[in-house]
Amino acid sequence: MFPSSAIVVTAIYPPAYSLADLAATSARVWARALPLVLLLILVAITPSGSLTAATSVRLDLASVDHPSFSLHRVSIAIGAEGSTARIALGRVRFGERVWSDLELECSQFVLAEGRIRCDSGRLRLPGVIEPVTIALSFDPDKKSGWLRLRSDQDESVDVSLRADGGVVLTLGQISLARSAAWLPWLAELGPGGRFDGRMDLAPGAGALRVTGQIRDGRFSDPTGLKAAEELGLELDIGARLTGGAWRFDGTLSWVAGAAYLHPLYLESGASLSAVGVFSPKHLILERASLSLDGFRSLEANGVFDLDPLHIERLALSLADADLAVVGPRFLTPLIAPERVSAVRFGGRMSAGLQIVDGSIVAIDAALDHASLALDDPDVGLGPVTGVLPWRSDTETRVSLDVGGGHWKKLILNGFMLEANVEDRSVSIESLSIPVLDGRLVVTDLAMQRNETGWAGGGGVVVEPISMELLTTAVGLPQMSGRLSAALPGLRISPGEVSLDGALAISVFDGYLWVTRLQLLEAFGVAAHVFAEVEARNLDLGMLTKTFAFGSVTGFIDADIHGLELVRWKPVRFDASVRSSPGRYPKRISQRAVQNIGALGGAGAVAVLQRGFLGFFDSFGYSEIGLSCRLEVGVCRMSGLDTGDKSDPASGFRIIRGGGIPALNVIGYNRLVDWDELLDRLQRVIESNASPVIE
Amino acid sequence: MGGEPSPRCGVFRADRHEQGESMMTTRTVALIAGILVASAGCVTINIYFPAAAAEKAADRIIDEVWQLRESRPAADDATGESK
Amino acid sequence: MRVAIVLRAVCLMLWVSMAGLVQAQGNLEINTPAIAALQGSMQQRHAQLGPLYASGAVGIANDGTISLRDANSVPLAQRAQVNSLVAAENADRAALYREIARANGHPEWEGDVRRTFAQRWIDRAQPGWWVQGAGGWVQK
Repeated sequence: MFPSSAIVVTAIYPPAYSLADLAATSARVWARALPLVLLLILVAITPSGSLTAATSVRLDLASVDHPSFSLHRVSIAIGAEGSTARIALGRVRFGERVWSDLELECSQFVLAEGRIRCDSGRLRLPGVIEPVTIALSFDPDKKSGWLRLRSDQDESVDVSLRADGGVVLTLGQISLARSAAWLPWLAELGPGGRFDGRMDLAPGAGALRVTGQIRDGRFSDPTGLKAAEELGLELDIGARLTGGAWRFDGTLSWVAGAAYLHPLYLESGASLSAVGVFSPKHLILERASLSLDGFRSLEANGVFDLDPLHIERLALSLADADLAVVGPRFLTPLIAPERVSAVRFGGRMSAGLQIVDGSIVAIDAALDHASLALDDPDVGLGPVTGVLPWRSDTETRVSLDVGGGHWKKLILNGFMLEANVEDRSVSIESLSIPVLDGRLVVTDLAMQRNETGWAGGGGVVVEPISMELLTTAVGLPQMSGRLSAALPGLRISPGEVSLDGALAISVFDGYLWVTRLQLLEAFGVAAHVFAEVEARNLDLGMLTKTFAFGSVTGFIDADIHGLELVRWKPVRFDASVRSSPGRYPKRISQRAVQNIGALGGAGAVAVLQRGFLGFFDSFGYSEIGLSCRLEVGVCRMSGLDTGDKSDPASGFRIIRGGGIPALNVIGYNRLVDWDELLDRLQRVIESNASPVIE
Repeated sequence: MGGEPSPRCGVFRADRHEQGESMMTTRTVALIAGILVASAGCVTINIYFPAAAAEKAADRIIDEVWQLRESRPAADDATGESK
Repeated sequence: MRVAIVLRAVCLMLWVSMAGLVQAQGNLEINTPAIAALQGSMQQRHAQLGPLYASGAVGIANDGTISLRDANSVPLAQRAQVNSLVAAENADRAALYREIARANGHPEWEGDVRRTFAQRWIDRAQPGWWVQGAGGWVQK
């Protein structure tokens, strides 16, 4: 009946438009693209190209094909003037998308005075558009008209086509959940919320303005790792078409709600503004700036290839980040999520980053009085001021002025940190950290980062530190002497620091020699230290006086094998203490004897010659010997001799008497709870520190 | 003998031998292995990871961490008291 | 004659190494204070992790770690805390595997220890918990 219909259809549209072309070529194409299906159908039913009142028309087409769209099983039926018109499309392809069973029905269809009108119409597209009411009016001669769509959920779409070629699209209360059916990438995020917006396309010059807002928006991917709730977004973009590309200038403000973008939790209050050029192949970002709490400024510019998406060039810069704000929000979740609550930041940081051809080529960070502190273990560093450059292709030099630091109660003084950084390795020629009146010097430290963490080695020297200052600083009873160390074999691997060499402490007129130092999982729950300790010739007089334990004169040697500290408390060792060889005065005060007795617990130590005790202030002895093998919280004790282990009633000799009056101390408790022993020691020392009035 | 085997010929990690159980089998295996070694020159032998023991250790730790044996010691105590 | 002597020496050496092998099949040392400390820390954390395993928010991965696999049941504002909890558990677990290997004098066993634990955590997971199989997450 109308064999020319299909020809008319193809003649109306310039052939071979892709979607991208539609966006870029001209505003006029937009004007025609919007009411595309509508126009197509209307023209299809007017074979002569002019509108005349028809009586009754029925048209069936098998298919209409075009590079950017195709229609199959088209059925158009128009009744008499003012009656029903029905258009059905069995299958519609537009670009990549395909829909089935589109149906448009106008219960009041009018063709009059050169206008087409459809009142009280209904539009259906199963699964995409549930029934919406439609009303339209179109004047083909003037190419002007309007279209109104209303859904049962108060959504509205209004298109107004002006005679001068301008188009206004107004969207009201559009459900994002339902829109997801149109946009597969959006569907994966399971969006919700409502969108209101307006798009103005000016005639001629191709100026576009889009404004809109999302209220009560939300999305969540299947894992819940990309999600947002109660989102409020406001968008305002102006664009102008010049030379085949859109020049845009817009802002996007996040005004309400919160989001979790693994591993970051973000709250509203950010605003992004951007200026650039968008073409089908490239996005040129001339200047983008993000205003975000905690940063003075955050800016970016760059060039992106869009097909496929690829960063050709991108420069990011941030100025004056307040680390106290930014640290917990961005740095800890990214760098050390396991210690979110235990890390504290301070100071300011500025940084720049450059990406060329998809890979990072340069990072520059500048710290301004930055500080970092951990709660457990109690360590801190800062304020740190200086620069940290990094280049992918060359070595750079880091230079930081560290104002100080602390490790528990020990305060470190200021020092300069100079390091060479290359790709994934860091080397420090020499680092000298003042500690009290001495120095901790690290030399030739070289570290590499591999899959499991940082590994490397170097050497450590401790230049003499006064024990008076050190013990006072860490809250121990004051001792005199010096501490120094030569640990040339520092080895670091993930979770492990071992120090070959020796730590020497001269104290109590003798010395302590610490070797085979090994520090494991220093920052973990199970931080532990291994060491071998050898002490020679410690003056018991000074020692007992320091710890307010009464008075014992003489000297002792001690060996602690397999010492293991977990969280800085001893948990395992095999220790023995003995009188040093040689001739020297050996006396023990009555107070010390009583304290030894108290240490053993009630009835644990039997003091011989009890009857004479009261008459003497001090006693002579010939030898002291005590050993403790600590394991699983229990100290297995023995003395100068092991005693008869098979007989629980027999004790072990701790002090062998000598001189006049002679005194023997014998212990009977071979197994002593370590914590209990420490408690008793603490009590004895406290009771001696404050005079006891009897 | 008794000392460390010559490091020139592969890496031997030999822990102290505790029991002579299945010595015959061990010897037979050793003999066969010896022939293989003689034909192949030198090989490296490491101690195998004790998979069964590791599983047992893992189970003990998992019991503790997940408190899977929470009810059992209580039951033991109850029987102990009734005796 | 010479060959026979060499053979004997080799046998002897092998016998010594096999003896070590027999011994290694005994028990693995796990009674160290460091392991106990890690175990204690993980046990304490389990009070918080238990409900997350049950809800499916956190699953037991096949590499000896745990993983935030479905955060939808966790309120948005708490997801970062849950992630931190997961990271802390994984840090302890990594230390535990290292420590067991170390405590037994074979730091190179760390990977084997991790694999063994990975399998046992999955095997021992309670019904309803999510575990990572070869083909993805499955509920026990």
